[in-house]
Amino acid sequence: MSEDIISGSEFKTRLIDLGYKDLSSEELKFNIRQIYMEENGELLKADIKILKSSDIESDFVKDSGYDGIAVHIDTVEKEEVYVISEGTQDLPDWLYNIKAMLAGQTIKQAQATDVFVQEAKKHFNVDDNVEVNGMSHSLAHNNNTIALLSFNTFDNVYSVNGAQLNYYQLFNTDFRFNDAVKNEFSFNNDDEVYNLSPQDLHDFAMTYYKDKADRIDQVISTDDPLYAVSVVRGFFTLGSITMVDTNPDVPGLRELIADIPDNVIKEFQELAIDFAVASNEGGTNEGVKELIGIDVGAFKDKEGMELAGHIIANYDTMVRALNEKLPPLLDRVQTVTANSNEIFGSLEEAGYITERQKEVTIDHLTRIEKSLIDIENILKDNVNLRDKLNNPFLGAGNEIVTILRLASNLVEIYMSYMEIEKTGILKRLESIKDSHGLQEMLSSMSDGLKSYIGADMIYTSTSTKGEPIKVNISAALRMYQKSIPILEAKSTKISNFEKAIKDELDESYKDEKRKVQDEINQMESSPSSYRFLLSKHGYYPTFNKEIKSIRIHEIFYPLENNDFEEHLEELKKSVESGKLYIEKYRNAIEDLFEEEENVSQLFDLSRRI
Amino acid sequence: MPQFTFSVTEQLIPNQDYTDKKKQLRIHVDNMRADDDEFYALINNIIVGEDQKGKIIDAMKKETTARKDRDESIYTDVISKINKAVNSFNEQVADMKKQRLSVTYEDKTE
Repeated sequence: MSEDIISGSEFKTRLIDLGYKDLSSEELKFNIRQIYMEENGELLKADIKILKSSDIESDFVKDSGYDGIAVHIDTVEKEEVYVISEGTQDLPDWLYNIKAMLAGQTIKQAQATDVFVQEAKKHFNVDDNVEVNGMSHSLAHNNNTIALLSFNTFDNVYSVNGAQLNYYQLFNTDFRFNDAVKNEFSFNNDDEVYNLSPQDLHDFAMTYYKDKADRIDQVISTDDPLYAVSVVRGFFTLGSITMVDTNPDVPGLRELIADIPDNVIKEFQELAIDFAVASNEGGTNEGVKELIGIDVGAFKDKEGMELAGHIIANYDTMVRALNEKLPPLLDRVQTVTANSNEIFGSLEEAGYITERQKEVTIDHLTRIEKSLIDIENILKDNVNLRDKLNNPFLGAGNEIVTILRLASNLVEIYMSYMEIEKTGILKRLESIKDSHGLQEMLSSMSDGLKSYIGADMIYTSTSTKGEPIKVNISAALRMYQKSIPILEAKSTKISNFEKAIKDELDESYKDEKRKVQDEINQMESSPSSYRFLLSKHGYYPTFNKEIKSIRIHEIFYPLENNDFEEHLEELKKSVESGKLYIEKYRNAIEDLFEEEENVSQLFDLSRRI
Repeated sequence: MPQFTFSVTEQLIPNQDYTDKKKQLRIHVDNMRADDDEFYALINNIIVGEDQKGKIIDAMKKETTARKDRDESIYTDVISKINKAVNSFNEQVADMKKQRLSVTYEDKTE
């Protein structure tokens, strides 16, 4: 089979990046052609069609939160479909991450991926012989690979920094895998899967899906936090993997995460399962209620007296529910605080944070923990007193004291958070987030002359003496393509200005002259109507006088100071010199590179896209 | 009956303020400036890093700055010309509305 139309990690990564840019179909087509030209040094001679998941009428796809773009490329010799699935972008995606990958309870977005791809194939009128490639980053890798494994949606999947497959997720959704696991490990009740050895399950899943592994290509940063997380129970990394150290200053977090005992991860998994099961049955509000005991949905759309009334009416229930749900939640928080020395010590050792940031954070996390324990005790005391008095209301005095004590602890927590933030630790930890992004990955994909900043291609000139010069070739080509239309638009605006001068000054002056002339005609033709002129100029008495004629000694001077010729000429010259300036800039960039580097050809091709 | 004539300078139609025309004309200058901003934004990102040095780079940076300054100076002149033209328009229209006229009347008592 001939090579894919879109080939090379750089091109594929830049294509995935386009999926995040909220471009129109026409802009997407243009950008794909532009990247193709930059990467291959030739024009993409193909018909391109686009279909977005937001364009199809499917409530299932819409409700799942899945977003994707299908690109159909037809070169006549070869026809291919590329589906760029979007990674985590908004709150529904984050909730899905918890339910799908931490709890392993859903594959809705993977099912939506399959629905979208089938719709796209129909829309593009392509049969099953046409290769369909999934392109993914982050959450989208989980969606695309599950779609490949479960529904054979894709021929191949290419992913960057993907959220890995989860065997609990596949156990709960792929009935064949479910059967195979039960056979292999001899059990009947699905819940027992969480008690199996994660390593055994991991190895079994790797073997079970190995036949399709050669259709998955992944590039992963050793600094990607998702790569670090993929060491814990549930995740297995399938396919051909290329590891890249995108941030050589730090070692990555994988070892740190690997040190977290499995039983701790299992506790968080149980919490996520409670949330996921409740949300699947009754929506997100039900999920939150399962965690904290309060129905936050009931507060929605209520304000003022209605909200106060609702709180008073449900006060006893809410305090009791919080009292019941807070301790298990606090246990999980204490898991982090109890290990904060190890966690933040490792982060410091790895160079992610400074010693001072570590000390302040540990100190304030301890204070936050103390406040949470106080809150737990305040609630417990309050509920005990209610039980003792056998009354849902303890009286305004007692309730106000409870509320004030709770508020004081909440203020303490907020102050501690502010102190932690002040150290700059959160900003410092941003670098971890950057290592998950596509741009850091692209930056590390340099190949001699070529490198990337953001999604732009950079050429480094070595032909001049001294320091090498970095030129953003993508920006240079954009300048060469788009500057002429801008200059043409400016020419149109100069013409508009010229017309406005005529309208606002010359024509307007003529109008005013016409009005004066009309008045003159009126006065000369009906002098008797202007009797007031007699009194106005002191010709009393007026009753015995009659105006017989009025003659105007009219003088009209031509309009002065309306000549913009010189200025208009200057503006037009600026447009013309702009065109020369662009060519000069092009030549200057070409001079930085050797002829064989084809920069000149790229400039020529860029205007033919 | 005798006829008499007197001559006066009369405001034929009321005066009006045309200062708003400055705004109407300046809008076009703002539109051209917006095109320039877009044009220079395309150029700004080409050379990676402000501190890069080299004969060619320096020459292009110098030329870009000179172009920008020249464009700005044209706009300043155009705006000044607009102000002058509209002020002059205001005065000339006001003058045009005042004309010298001779009124001839008949006195019926004589």
